[in-house]
Amino acid sequence: MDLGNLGIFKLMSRKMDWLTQRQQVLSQNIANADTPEYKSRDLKSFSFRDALSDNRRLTPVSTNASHLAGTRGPGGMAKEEKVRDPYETAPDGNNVILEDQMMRMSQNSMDYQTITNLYKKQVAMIKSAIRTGG
Amino acid sequence: MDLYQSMAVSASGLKAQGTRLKVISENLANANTTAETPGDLPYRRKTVIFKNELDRAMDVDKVRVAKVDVDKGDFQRRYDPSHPSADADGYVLLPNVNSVVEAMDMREAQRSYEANLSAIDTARQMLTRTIDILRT
Repeated sequence: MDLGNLGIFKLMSRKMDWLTQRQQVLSQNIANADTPEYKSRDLKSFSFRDALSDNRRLTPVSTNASHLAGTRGPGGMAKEEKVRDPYETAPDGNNVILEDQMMRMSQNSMDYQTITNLYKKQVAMIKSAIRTGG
Repeated sequence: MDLYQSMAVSASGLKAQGTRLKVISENLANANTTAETPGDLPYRRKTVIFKNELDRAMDVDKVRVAKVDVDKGDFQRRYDPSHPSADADGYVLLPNVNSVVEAMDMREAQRSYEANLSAIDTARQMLTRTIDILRT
């Protein structure tokens, strides 16, 4: 049985993927906290509606050998966006605020923990369902 | 794996801040360096310029030190006629290093370094939690 085919597992792994990508974007912001002209970024917030309707998204099919394959598959990168209304911008054009980034990061990490715990719980429930069969 | 990419980005941040710290210590160490002969110029303060750079292999925005430039500001002068490099009026040129500015810069570099470290720590925790799923 492929757990990935079960709706809830699919949804959870999509959310984990999103959180991982967000961690990457936040790390980029922190690494560039002193780079002139760097603008902080974040991911477009995760919506379950989009994640659920993902099955309906169309992917182009290559019918000719010279067609270029897309670099991003159906479940590719989430959309990145510049942070609007930054709290403050330094004279050198950088608008990364370390405190803000750290807060986002710890929230991200906590969300990740929630999802992995949920995942474990779900597996445990399936296990106990199997055991009652004996 | 994406989490390794985030760690690589933070590591590039650590490296850049490390270079910055190195330049700051150079400035501080040379804060009192004077020229040997009257015509020469003393040490010039160095500054670090950061630049963000796309790592195509990993598809992430890393940071690197674009160049180490010199501060073209005016030198400080001190009246000390007995000094070997004093000019005809008895003034000695001193480097344009202000230790207060350097200390503040150092503090900032340290904070950024710590932020990058904790970003690595967070990524590592997330990775550990993923691996923990296996243990159920």
